Amino acid sequence: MAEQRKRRPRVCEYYQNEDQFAKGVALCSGCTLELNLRFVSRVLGKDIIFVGTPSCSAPVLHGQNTMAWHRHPYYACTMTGVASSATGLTRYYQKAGIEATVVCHTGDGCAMDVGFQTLSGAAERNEKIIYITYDNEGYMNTGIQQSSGTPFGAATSTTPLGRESRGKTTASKNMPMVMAMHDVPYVATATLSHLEDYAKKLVKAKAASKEGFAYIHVFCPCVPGWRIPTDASIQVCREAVRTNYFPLWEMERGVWRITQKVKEPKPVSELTRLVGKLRHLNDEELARLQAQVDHRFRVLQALCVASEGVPQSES
Amino acid sequence: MAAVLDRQRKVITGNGAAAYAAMLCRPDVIAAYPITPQSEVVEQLAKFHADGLLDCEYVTVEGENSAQNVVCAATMAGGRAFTATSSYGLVYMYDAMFNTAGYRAPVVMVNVNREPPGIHAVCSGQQDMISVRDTGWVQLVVENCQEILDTVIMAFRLAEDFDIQLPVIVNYDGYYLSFLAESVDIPAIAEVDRYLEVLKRQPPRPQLLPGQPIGCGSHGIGMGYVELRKKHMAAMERVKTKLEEIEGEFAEIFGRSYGGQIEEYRTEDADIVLVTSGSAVGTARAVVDAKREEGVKVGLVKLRLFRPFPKERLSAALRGRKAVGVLDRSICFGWDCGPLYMEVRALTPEMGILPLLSFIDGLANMDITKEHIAGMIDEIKAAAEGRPYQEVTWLP
Amino acid sequence: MKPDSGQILPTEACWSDASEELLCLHTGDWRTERPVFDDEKCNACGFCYIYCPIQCVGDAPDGIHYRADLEYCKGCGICARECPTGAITMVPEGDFADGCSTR
Repeated sequence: MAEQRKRRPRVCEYYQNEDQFAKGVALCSGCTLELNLRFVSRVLGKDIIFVGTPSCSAPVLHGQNTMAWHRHPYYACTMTGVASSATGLTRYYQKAGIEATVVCHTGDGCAMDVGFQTLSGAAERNEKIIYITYDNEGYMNTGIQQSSGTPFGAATSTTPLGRESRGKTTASKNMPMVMAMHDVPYVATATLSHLEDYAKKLVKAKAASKEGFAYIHVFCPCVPGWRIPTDASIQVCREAVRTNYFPLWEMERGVWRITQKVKEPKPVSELTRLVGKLRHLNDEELARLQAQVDHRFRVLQALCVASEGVPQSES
Repeated sequence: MAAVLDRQRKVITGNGAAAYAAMLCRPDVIAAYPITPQSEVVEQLAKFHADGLLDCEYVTVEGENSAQNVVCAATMAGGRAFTATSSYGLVYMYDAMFNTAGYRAPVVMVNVNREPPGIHAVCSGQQDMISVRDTGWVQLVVENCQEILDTVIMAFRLAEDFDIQLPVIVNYDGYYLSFLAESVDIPAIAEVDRYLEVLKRQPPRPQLLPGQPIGCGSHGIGMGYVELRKKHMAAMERVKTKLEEIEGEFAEIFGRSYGGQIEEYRTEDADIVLVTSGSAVGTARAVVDAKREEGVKVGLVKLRLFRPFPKERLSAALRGRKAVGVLDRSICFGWDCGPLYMEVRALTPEMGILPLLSFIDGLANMDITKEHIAGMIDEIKAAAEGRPYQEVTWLP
Repeated sequence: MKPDSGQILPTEACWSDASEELLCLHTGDWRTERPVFDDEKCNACGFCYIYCPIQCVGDAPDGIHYRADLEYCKGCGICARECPTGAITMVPEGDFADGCSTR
């Protein structure tokens, strides 16, 4: 074949450095969380301080005795203490005049359940931190238990299929929306199939965190937990966006916009058929999930329309 | 910039004394959540902050668990941090307290003793401090408002000492001390600066900073974990002598001291001794004096350092006595007596077998009166004289 | 930071220091199949480079195309799946004489 000019995808312009993680880390084959960690490391840069907690990321983010798996400074704490620990760090750095970017990096279980109160408190106080939630819709590291991020109908180890059960009976919390309602400078959704969109949002979040609280909710499929093949995880991200199951949007100081417009959203069944934990949904259950997806998207659209042309808020 | 405060004598409450002390130590970060009977501490600190007397990051957290995590992280980043709580709040920060102690974070906290949840009570009691005795924190218990102020200042000196690096709780009785207004000698901020200056000349602790590949909170694996536990215990043991040392330094600058780990009152020739802690000590002093007038050779030991338990000094103080009573303002679940009593009982190999009596009094803000204490002394005397006595007595 | 002799940690609490070495697993041992790159079909778009969760896809020797670092490649197959020209095929490890890592 004739010689071709090497061109890197546009997202590479956002990379500040090589990722700071060891080449071989204990995350599953095909894990989107691994891509997430390395991506955040490359885009936000090597000086960020990670705040992490027991979760799928802990075996990689936190060290073992004196050794570590990466070169970022980090602070490990209990699930109940992530946003509050980040608060302690960022407040001291401000007092001492130390320039720092504190990045909380937790799963949905921490952000949406057991660590939610402290996250909400930190957002209300507009603490100068970035909080990234990688949403794999459950407690994966401990064995695929359900969380408030698990969608309606999903089969997990604590909402298993059985004679009396068809999986989780309640819908997940609309967490990014909840965080946006805290009136903080920046909230966004992102996923690993749309890396350039995610990179732009990380850059905006970093800038916003110099003024106040920034939150990014990242859709992160889990290979063993969702029962998907190792090579399908990026495709599942893409389908989540294309079906409006996980729309990509941002809210900047009270102004909402959808950052990845989907012209003709596919039915949610295009996503569920790829994902083992949802493949058992019958027509009625699918219809219920579809209704929920549609409703949430309509609310999002309404917010976008309502804030069109509205000047950004001062807070 | 904090205004320079001169030395003054003021009538202030126990809570006010705690707030003054914290302010004088120039903390970088304060995070606290209000709870009766502590609220005045955080309110007074907020006022100092609002008036520009306290140059710190004042974080109005949404719960005590967050408060503890904020102050722990702030010290790991290199700062000085302070928080205050009581009972329900103390137990709400339970998981975070393990974190702080395990990280060897030099947080200083006042705990205004109040009964914990289970039987709703907005009342004084020491059960809260008992319930956290295994978290790995240093715990002190004080008797009056002056001692609150002095001990909080000493707590920063102790916590941040390079040989110690442990979080410290200063406990004082809710209601009896928190809202009691007494005349308190408030030092000049320059004197406090001088007292704490030595810390700046010590080697630096590890610090979490951007741009350094240092991580805080690594997993403890195998012998690494065991080693850190041993180091923690060794540091706890060092607290005993360090407390005496820093109290000596305190006395040199401020002219006051409290005996270090324990204070012995009229024990030189005492046949019988009552051991207690907190505000009850003040009452007990008066009763001991009255009993001495009657010819009873009774002494009082004030337990000031609760964690680590002052094994050596206490067993030396109690050895050879004819009988000893221990007054607890709490109960020891799993046993049928008071918790401090149980810990004194564990000193038997060092102090010898002698009659030991447990008195449980002062739960839920029921006053520990002079009459109660006189009755306790009579019971201890009965034991010393070989007459029948009750091993465990609940009062009133 | 160096611990006293006989000690594992130089600190009183659990601090790690990555200024010298990093922990690293030889994850190349994990895989059961490996990506094979067909430079004829490749249009050098770089999707394999950006989507590899391990970020182990780097430049091929010609500086135009791409190769996976087989010391660490876990064989997930994302590169093959995301490749728009079908230039990457996942082939069972057993088909290769070099076998899995000897480390």
